[in-house]
This record gives sequence, C-alpha cells and structure tokens, in this order.
Amino acid sequence: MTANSRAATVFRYSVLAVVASLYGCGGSSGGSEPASANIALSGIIDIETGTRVDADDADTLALSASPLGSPQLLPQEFILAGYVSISDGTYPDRDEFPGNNYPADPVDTFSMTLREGQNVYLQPFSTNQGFSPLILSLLSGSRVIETVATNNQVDPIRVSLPDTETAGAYTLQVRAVGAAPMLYILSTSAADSAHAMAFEWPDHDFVDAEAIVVLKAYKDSVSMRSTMPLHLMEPKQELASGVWLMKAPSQMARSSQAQSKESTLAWIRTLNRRPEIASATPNYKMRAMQTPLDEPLYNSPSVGQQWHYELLNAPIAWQIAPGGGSGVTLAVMDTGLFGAPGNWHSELNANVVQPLPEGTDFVSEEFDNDGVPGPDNNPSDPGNVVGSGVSHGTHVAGTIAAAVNGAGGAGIAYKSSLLPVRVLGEGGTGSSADLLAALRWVAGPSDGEPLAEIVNLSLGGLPFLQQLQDAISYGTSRGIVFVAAAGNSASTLASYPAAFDKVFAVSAVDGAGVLASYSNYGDWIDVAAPGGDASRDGNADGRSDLVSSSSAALVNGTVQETYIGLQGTSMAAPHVSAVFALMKSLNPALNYEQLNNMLMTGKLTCGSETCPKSTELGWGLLDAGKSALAAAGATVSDFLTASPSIVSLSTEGELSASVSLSVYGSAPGDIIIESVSVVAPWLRLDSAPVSGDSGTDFGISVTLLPEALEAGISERTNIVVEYRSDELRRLEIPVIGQRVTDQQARDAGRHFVLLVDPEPTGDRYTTVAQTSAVAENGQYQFSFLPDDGEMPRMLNEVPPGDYILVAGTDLDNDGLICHAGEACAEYPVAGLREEITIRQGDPVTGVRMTTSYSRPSISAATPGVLPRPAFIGYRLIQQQPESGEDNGGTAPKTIGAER
Amino acid sequence: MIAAYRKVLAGLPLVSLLVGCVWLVGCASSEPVKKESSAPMARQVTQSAHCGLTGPGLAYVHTSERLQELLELPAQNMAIQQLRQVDLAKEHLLFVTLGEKPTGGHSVSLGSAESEQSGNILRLSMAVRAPVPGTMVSQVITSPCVVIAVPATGLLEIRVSGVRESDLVVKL
Repeated sequence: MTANSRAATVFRYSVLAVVASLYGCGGSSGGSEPASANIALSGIIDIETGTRVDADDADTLALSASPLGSPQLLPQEFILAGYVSISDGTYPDRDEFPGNNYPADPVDTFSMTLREGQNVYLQPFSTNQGFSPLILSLLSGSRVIETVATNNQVDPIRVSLPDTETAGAYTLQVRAVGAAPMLYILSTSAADSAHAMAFEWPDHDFVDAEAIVVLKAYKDSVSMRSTMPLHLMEPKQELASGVWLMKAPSQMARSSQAQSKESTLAWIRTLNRRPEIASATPNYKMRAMQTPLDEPLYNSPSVGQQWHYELLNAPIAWQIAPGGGSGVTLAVMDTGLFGAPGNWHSELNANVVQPLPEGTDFVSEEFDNDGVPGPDNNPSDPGNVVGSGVSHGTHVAGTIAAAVNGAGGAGIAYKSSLLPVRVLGEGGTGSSADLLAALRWVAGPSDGEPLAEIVNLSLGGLPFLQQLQDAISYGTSRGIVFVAAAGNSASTLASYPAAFDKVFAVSAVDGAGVLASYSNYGDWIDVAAPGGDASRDGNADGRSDLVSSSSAALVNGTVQETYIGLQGTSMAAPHVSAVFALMKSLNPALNYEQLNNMLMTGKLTCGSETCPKSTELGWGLLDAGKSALAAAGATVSDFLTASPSIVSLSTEGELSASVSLSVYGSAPGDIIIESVSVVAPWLRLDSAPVSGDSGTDFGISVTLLPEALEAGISERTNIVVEYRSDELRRLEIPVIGQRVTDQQARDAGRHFVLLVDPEPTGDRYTTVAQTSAVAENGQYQFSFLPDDGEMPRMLNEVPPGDYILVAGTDLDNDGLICHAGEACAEYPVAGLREEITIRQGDPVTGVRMTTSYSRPSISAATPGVLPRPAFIGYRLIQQQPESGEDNGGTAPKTIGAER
Repeated sequence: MIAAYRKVLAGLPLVSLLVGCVWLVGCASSEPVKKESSAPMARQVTQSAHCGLTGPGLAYVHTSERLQELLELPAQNMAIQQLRQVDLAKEHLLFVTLGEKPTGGHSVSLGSAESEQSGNILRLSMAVRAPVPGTMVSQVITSPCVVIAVPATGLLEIRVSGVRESDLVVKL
C-alpha cells in the first residue's frame, strides 16, 4: 500500500465514517469502542504504523515511575518519540498557571536488530527550556561503534551500521548533555534499506527448449533430416512447409527455470547464425491459448486486483474449459454498454454479438436518457444525466466476457458471446414493464430459437409480479438459464427477480468468502459468488475487496474506457452467469433443471466438500473448477489443481503455508511432475515434489521471508508447477506476501483527548473537556460523558456545543500537547480541523482519527503552507488552585489513565 | 423520469442546467448559482454516484493534499480533471455526500445558494433523489456526492440543507 493510499484509507475510515455521526447519524463505524449509553462522544484513535514511545518519558515519570533500568526493545523499523533530561527541574510559569516539574532521565537505551548499512535517525526538539545537545550512540555490547552529537535543534543526525559489522542485535543510546530537557524522534528509514529487489516478468512467455524454425531451401522432411544440423535441434512437428517446431538437444542444461529460459534464448541465437536457417524464434505461448491469468489486472504485482477469480477457483475452470465459453451467448440485461455498436469498450467489442438483433434497448421514455426516448435498437449506455455513473452494465459484462487481449483484465467466460440488452436507464433505474418486455423478447419467437442461453440480471428491488414469473418460466422452458443479484439491503426480504422460481439467486461474499456486509440472505438464496466489500480486506492483499472490471470514467471532459472496482450483488451474479457459460460450452444441453440438480447435489460448490444449504450462501460459494468438471462429464484430461488456489502470507497472519495439489479429471490418473519453482526472494520453497515424481496428490510448503519485503507493501508471485499429463502443462499458484508491522505493538504514549473551544482566545485554545487513554492493541479508545449539570463538572463531561477534537501526548510534561516532538491527532485529519457538534441526548459515536509524530506543518516542503506560527500546542486543563474544585478527586493528568 | 424519483428535499427546484448535463458531452459542472444581484457564491463542479465516501456529511477541501486524499478512496469514480482544474487559491471545494447507498438511483445536486450576513454565511440547498420503493434498480453499492466550489475567502460558515434532517455546518 502506498503512502497515499494509506492516507486515503485512514481518511476513509476516520473522516467520512465520522462525518456521518457528527450530525446525529449515531451509527458506529465498527470496531470496539465504548457503549453509547450515556455517552456524549466516543471514538477510537488509530496509531500510525511502526509507532513506539519512550517508556520513560516525562509524562510517564510524572506518574511516579522510575527511569527504565534496562534497554527498551524496538522492532527493526520504527518511529519513536522520547524525552531525556540530565536533571530534574521546573518549567517557567505559563499564563496564570504554574510551571510543571520535569524529571531527570539522562539517558534512554534501546535494543534492536540492525541490518548492514541500516540507518537510524534522530531529530531533536527543544522544550520551552531551550536547546541542549543530544548524543546518539550505536553500540555493540559495551563497544561504541559510532557516536554523533546534534549541533542545533533543526538538523537530524544519523548513525549507521557500517559494512564491517554484521547484522544483528545492537544498542542505541540517546544521552542528554545540556541543562535543558529535550524531546527527540528516533526513526529508521525503510527507504534506505538495500533489500529492494524487483522481479521482472518477461513480456512474452515462451516454451522452454523449443523454437519455431523457418528453413531455407526446404524440400521435404526427408531431405531436411539429411541436411540440417540435427545435433543442434530435434524436429518435433512440421507446422507448415519449411516451418518446423524444433526441440533443443536434451543435453541443454536446465538446472533452474531462469537458466532454462536463458539457455533456450542462447540456443535460439545459435540457430539464427546457421546458414541453413532463415529464422528461429521462441515458441511464444500464443495469445489464443491465454486465459485471464495472463492479463495485467490479474497477474501484475502492482495492479493485480482480480482476487475474485481465484476465490472462485476459476483458473482450474479455464484449464478444463479452454474455450472460455465460446459458442455460448449471454444476455446482460442492464444499463447497456459503454461505446457504440461496432465500437464498444475495447475489452468487450470482440465478444459482442454481431450484428445485434433488433430491439436491444427496452428502456421506456420515463427512464430513458439516451437522447432517443423510448425503446430502440441501440443498447449503448449514455451514462447518467444526474451524476456520473460507472457504466454498470459494462462492469457486469466485463466480469462475464471481457476478452483476453493483453490489457486490463478479462472475463471468466472470456470467449463467450455477449448480448447487451438495455433495461435500466437514468441512474440505473427502470421499470418492471421494460424488464418484462425484454424477458419475453429474449425467449425468442415461438417458432424460433431463444436469443441467449443465459440471462444475467444484476438488478432488483421489484416486488413479486406474476407476469415476470411467467416470462421467466417460459424462458426456462425454452432452455434459458436466469441468474440474478440477491440485492444489497442486508436483509432476508426476498428481492425479485432473484427470488423468482427458476432463477439462480446469488448472494455476495468478500475476499475471504464471507457474506458481504451488504448482501441479502435468506432461504431463497441459491448460491454465492464474489461481490466485493470495500470495508474489508478479507484476502489480506492490502486492498479493499472490490470487484474489478471494465468501466468508463470522465477524463478531460470526455468519457473514456477504464477499469474500476465496485461492490454489490450486481458484481456477484455475473460470476455465476459466466461459470454457467463455461459449463454450457462443455455441455450445451445443460438447462436450469440440470444445473439446479448439480447445485443441490454439491457438484458446483465448496471444493472437495459438500455444503449444506445456508441462508447466507445458499448451497455455498461457487467453485468454477468443480463446476466445469461436472459439466464436462467424461471428457476431461487430467489437470493439476491447488488448494488453496491462492496463498496469502503475512507477518500478522500465517508465515508458512501448505498447498495441496490434486488431479482434476474425469478419471484422475497419475501425472508426472516436471518442475516446481519459486523465484521471488521473499518466498522460500520448503518442500515440493521433484522432477519425475508421479501420482495424483502432492504437497508444497512455502515460507515467507519477511526481511526481504518492504514493510507494509504487498508483493505477489507465483509458485510454478510444470507437469505432464496428456501433455506438458503448467499450474501457477499465486502467492501474496506482506510484511505487516505488529499493529498491536504500536504505542505513541498516553494520549490526552481534548474538546476545545473552536474560537481561540488570541493564539490559545481553551480546553473545555479532557480525558486520557493508553494504547491497547495499537489503538486508543476514548469517551466523553454528557454534562449532567452537577457541580463540580468532571473533566470528561462535556456540555452541548461546537468543539474541536484533538488528542496527543505530553512527553515533556509541560502541560501542552501536540507541539513538535509529541504525537498529535486532530479530528478529522491533523492540520484539517473540523468542528464536532455535541447535542443533548444525541451521542456522537464512532469517531475515528489517527495520531502521529508527523504532521502537515512539519512535513510540508514549504514553510507557511499550513502556518500555525503562534501555535504552541493545546493546553491541558490544570488544577485551579484558587477554585477549590477537586474534579472528582482525580488529578487532571490521571483522568482516564487507567483505560 | 422525474416521477420515478421521490424527491427527498421538498420544495427545492432542481438546478435547471443539471438536466441534460449528460456526461457524454463532458458537461459535469454547472453555472454559478447566485443570489439575485449578488456575486456568484457557489457552483457545482461535478457529481458522481461513486465518490467512495462512506458517511453522509460534508468534507471541506482547501488544499491539493486533501483533495488528493479524497480522490484516492476505494470505489471512487469522479471527474478528477474537473476537480483539479479548480484554483484552490480562489475557490475551495465542498463535498456533500449521501454516504453509501445500496443501489443505483440515488443522487445529490446543488439546488440553490444564497448568502447571509454580508456574505459571511453561505446557505446551500441540496436536491436529493432516491428511487421510489419498488423501482427496478442496479444492485451496486453507490456513494453519491456533489462537489461544490465556494469562494476561498470571506466565508465564515457554510450551512447545507436537504441532506440530513438538520443543517450540516462547516465553520471556516
């Protein structure tokens, strides 16, 4: 995840979820937080990755703790704020308040593992006592490796593990040498590490040890064998007159996959130098043989997003049904397609039925916005009049039938025929009458054929209408299979057309195969498929679980084709329609009754198991491989399949994984392993079958090597298995690796959470209410109580009004939070304060923000972009010695400290 | 088409030029909405059914960094170019969002704008649409919003009506 996307994620979960609650929504954004009963305001403060805090800062020492006697352990990558002072003392009085005491803590010692060449930086920050130098030392045991002193309070200093030292455990010391107490931030920089290694995928894969050779002066194969240098190549197949598929000599070294590729290229270069040969080229794996696995949107480490295909076990289905659904026509009754007849979205154009039958636009005038009011012959999606859309029908159609073309992604039935039928108009809305007309139309004339074999209906919201049921029953009687989205109301209420008899109702799951938070469910659900869930990352790939497919977006004033991630049962239904298309390409006779029987007898879902029917997933999550096998009957050769079909490893999840390989086939027999390889430096192949092993079941185990990964970044690679059944085949098992900093260890120090008056007095903000919290599982939870009117008012009681919500540490114990060198969070985003309104009897819950040592005013390249020239921090509520109030008998700095 | 919608905000006229503003011709922004005989106070920059903003409310944008945060949200599809063309030194952006909706057919747009207190307070009235129950709709999760450009200086408060039962307020 990039820094920007992290920021965006933080924003998403903090700002906007909370904006809802600010105005009385009252809903929680999830996660655990205090119950809302008798709460005025509550929420959670997240902590940025890698954040740690000095265990004996001044604020901690003020609560009677003693300086640490042993080194504080740190992870390899971190950012830590700390405090040192050579002696104790008292800060000067500020305004009407007496200065706080600061304790002595002359040295902080840390223990951590360092890599060779790894840097550790120290940024000093003065307290209001002025600047004192700091000394940063790197030690191995008692041996000093490097010592650096700060010259001023601006420039950071750095120590580095020299090349003469070996990676391992070292000690860092931060020592105060002047009279004034000092704050500092100590950090590592992952960007400086030398482990960044990129694995470059070849542009075009080719078959090892094979070449296509064009011969000069070719007469026939007999003369060829007598004149050609056969010690350099072995004829395998004559492709055309004078064009031969040649094999390399068997003695060519093949000690690894990479060397095999390189030796093949070297061999081809040798052939090209021979006078008898006009040309020799690699035997490129043909486009025609490619599947959606070869598309960037699926396999690119940077943009690979089609997790939903793996969850569906689609890769094995593509092996069993290499035709990609060719010969099967699917009608997508939706908003139409982006583009125009003959020039549709480039991912779809090749597969759209040509010519289109007449009458493909059924949108009546009331809903129509295509400039030609009422039904017509053009199913183009004009977008929305009000608010830009996402070409809903284009997205749905892409999941079904986007072509394999080396760009973007591809659909599951990537060679099927697509019949766009427009029944939804402005904003994705339409009428039951239009749908009824379309359903009758697609069934075809009574003396003719239906216009499609499968109809996808990613629409809903209709009540039961007998006419629609009749139209569907009639279509089914003519062999049409109907698939519909279950709806997104997260309820059991039957949604039509999905709930009609003889329609496959599809619920949606996220990347972990769990029912999506929005999906409808109930005993009327037939089957589940990936629909995505933006609020989850169920497959731990570092991205929201959206379903990626073809779309269109407004760019530079014109609508252009693109890909986009969406979520909804609209996205789940086309997965089922497309798998049915693959099945019907293998067995055209399959109809609703047969498919339904297969579904109910466990032949289409749940991998090697048989699922009982549930209200959430119906008969279970669709398994495309199993479905294709069921459809193929006795005609399937042996294929190797992996379980799980995708491996996710992370430092916060599983570090190792075992993958079971088993043979798929009508009558599974032994296959022979040719090779098993892994090329990513961050993945270790622990065990695997070796070349020549034969059987029907194999096991592979792999282990994540986190030190070879950049923290927080997901990487992707494949375990490649080459095997021989009826021919040489290849299975690629995607592996996602992620090195996640231990979130539970994040700690930015005790946080004071303040509600302050938005109107400053001069350059000072007045704190109205205050609480505090310590980090638990990498988060702070806080809550304020409504002011009950009783005096004295507790610090954490808040009267109705408008406030700014801030939180931060007071590491130097000067009674101010959020100044440089201390952690700070502002609602909703640091540097971008917005007001929160507290109303009587209207609790605001689910507030979320993130604390950090960095902030816009520090990180901005240009000083003054976000100026707060006189800002010294937010003032904690101090005891008013003259007031006599005891605030419930609790010292302000300990309010909430027990949390 | 209008009859198919339940206009949540009663009594607010839809800005006329939103009708017919089909994206195919690149028309996603409106003319400035202004009070009679006063300077333009607000203009609609763009709308989207997929803003990626999960909660209903307001998001005020006065820096390019903040705008970038909003443009990188998951499940977002907006006219990015039009938003980036706004000169944030002269105009700030206000995202008015309905939050996540379970289907297509929801939208929000700028109805009217007027100023109070010598231009210190800007009142924006929004027109919100939702499909009538029983209407056939696409089953995709949407997050409708509208982005409105407001003057970068001079405003102390923006009050937005029509999205929630009570006004949404941004104090500047």
